[in-house]
Amino acid sequence: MRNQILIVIVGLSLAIFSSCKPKTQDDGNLCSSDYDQSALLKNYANNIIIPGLETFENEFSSFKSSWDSYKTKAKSLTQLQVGLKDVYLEFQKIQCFDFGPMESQNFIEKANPFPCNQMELAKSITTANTDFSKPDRYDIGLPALETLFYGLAKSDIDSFKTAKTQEYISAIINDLHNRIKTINTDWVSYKADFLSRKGTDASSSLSLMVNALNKNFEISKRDRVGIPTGALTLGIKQANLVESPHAEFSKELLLGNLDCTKRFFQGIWNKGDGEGLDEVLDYIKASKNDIGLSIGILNNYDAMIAKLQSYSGTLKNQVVNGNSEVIALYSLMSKQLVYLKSDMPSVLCIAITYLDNPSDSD
Amino acid sequence: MLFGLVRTLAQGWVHELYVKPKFHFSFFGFDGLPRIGESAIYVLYAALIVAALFIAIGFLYRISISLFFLGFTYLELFDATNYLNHYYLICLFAFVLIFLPANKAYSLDAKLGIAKRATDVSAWTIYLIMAQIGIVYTFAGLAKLHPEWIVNAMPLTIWLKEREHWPILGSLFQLSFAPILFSILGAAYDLFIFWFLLFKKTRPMAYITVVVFHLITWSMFNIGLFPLIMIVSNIIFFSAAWHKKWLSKLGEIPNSKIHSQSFPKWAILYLCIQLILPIRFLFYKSQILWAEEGYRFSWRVMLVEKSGIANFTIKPKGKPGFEVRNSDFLMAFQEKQMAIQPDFILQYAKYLGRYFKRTMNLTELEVFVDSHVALNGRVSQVFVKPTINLLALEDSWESKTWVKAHPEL
Repeated sequence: MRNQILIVIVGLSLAIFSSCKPKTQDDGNLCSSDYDQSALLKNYANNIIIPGLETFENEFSSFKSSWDSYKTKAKSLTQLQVGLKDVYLEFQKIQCFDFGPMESQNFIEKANPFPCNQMELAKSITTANTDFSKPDRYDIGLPALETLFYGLAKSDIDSFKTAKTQEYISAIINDLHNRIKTINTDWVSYKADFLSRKGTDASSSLSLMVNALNKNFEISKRDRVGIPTGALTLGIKQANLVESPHAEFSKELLLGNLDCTKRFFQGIWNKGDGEGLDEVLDYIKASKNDIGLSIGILNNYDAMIAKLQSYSGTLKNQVVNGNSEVIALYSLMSKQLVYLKSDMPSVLCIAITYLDNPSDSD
Repeated sequence: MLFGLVRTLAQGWVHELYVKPKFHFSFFGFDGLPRIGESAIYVLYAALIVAALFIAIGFLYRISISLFFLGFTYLELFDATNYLNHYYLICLFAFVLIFLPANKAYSLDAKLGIAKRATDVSAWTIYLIMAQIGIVYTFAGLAKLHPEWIVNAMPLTIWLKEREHWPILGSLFQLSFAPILFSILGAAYDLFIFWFLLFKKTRPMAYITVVVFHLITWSMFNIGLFPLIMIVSNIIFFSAAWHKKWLSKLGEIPNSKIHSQSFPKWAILYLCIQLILPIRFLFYKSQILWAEEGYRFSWRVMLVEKSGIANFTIKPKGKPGFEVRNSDFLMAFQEKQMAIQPDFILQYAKYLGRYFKRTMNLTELEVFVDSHVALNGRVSQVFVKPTINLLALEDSWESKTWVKAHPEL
């Protein structure tokens, strides 16, 4: 008798569970869906990240040779400045790749610690302080070069040409060149790992990409816009803290950055639109306030880009003369952060891990 | 406990949790709690380690357990963002143990004559611990009878997906019905295990289930010492004869008895409080998983996967407002908890109000929050009403009507 009851119970439960259809994309989140990440990861690795990093290395190599020829007076300062601008703009396009090999090289921290600390920079040049492995140095990378090429070069051309300054510049350029070369070499072996890490756990490639995208966007919101505009600094404007205060191509840099995170979100590469995060959101039918989440995100990207393009002068100029428009951009960025950092990870069943807890959870 | 304390010290968590934060969150009613400095905390930790050791060997038991209870509870009250149900359970066990004669038999106290040796024990002392365990499990089970857990299989769906690459168990987690199956099993375990442990016939099987269940959850989740505590404390359900059989292997066979004696008044009061706390949420109109009113101290474990963003705007009278950088004031772990719990949002807003009034020499300002919380794999929703000046609110037992309702719960 008891066995019979047991059999009935087991049978019934099996029937109930097998009648539960495999959940499909209708559930609105990735963990209940049958989405296959293969095409997505392939598109990001083969069409976006690896070519992007290679382009940057090429761009950087030609900048490096510009510098070498400048030293032998074969190139003018203007040519050097153009080279720096190109590299700086190209750099904006790879910032979302800050995981795996790029993260191990601390590339963002070494290439773009802004604003540049000019006092430290002057000190480091005189003392030949070229140990770039130390953390939290604000006298290195592209911001230091921007200061030297545009700031000091204009006012104090002699000091720029001293042997010590040139050595320091060479050290920065060589350091970044070595790092990007290592990143590209490492990606050769990392690629298989990247493609195989499907899923939603913290070490999955999807999680790494979503975290990197957010980290980069949050830096833009806080450092590129929030601090100069005063929105985060008691309302006190600090126009000189924009990303490139001397050359004043901050607007182009920010545009490049926003455009790059947008294309990264879409999975767009030079030759076309591949499987991207927007397709995943569409597949799981994620929506917010009755419109598709991906549409909401893209519309807001367009709004931010349009706002930035509407500034007639430089970003610095806009902060000084029409800050309310920069505050408006900041508000759009705050809205975007909710989309990118709260909505998207939640429906993708991914945790934002780049700021994390000590201790246990329950 | 000794192990847990040493682990916390060794991981350097003491500095991260108690020393580094500029602002500490308080439990309701404890906002005046004085916070001791870094060296005092290390002294307290050392004292707790000694106390835990003394408790284990039964030396100066009554003093040690009292000190342990006070010290450990103080540390738990230090910063409410560290609240975990199993730390609360440790506080409760420690409290109850103050009044139990745990130093009467195999203890140094008994050997040295500090405590009068006794081999008899009053039944209520055993029943009290059993009841406490029963309360933990049963309320944890009742909390899982929410449609979110039992129908939507959330947040287990998220957590199983994260672990689908695990060896052996991973292939099980990938099955389409795994989340709902595990949700039902989890709820059933919590609801019924106490009763199966209670009855002699089912007890051995139930205890094996306890061990297996807690070992699985231990391997799956970052839940510290909780599984170990439950596995060990559940031994109390076994009969006196069973305990004696094992104790006899220590060489001494006491001729002990359990004599019935009614529960002392304090124990009855204690149990009543333990029964009321978990159901206090019934007095609130808000959604328990969303606004978390009556959530803590209620054995609501593992019920939500939440993340939030909370940006505060300070608006001095007659001046443009500005946003606060939370990282200037809070540690990452504090910010994470603050952004998803309304009472923390309010406490932090009040702190910001005081801070900016002082540093900017202002008398009148308002604090607003733009907060968004995402729950269990959904898109985020606005959490606290963004147009409310938080400085005009007071935290109280009353319902927090300034938290917006979640449209889907």
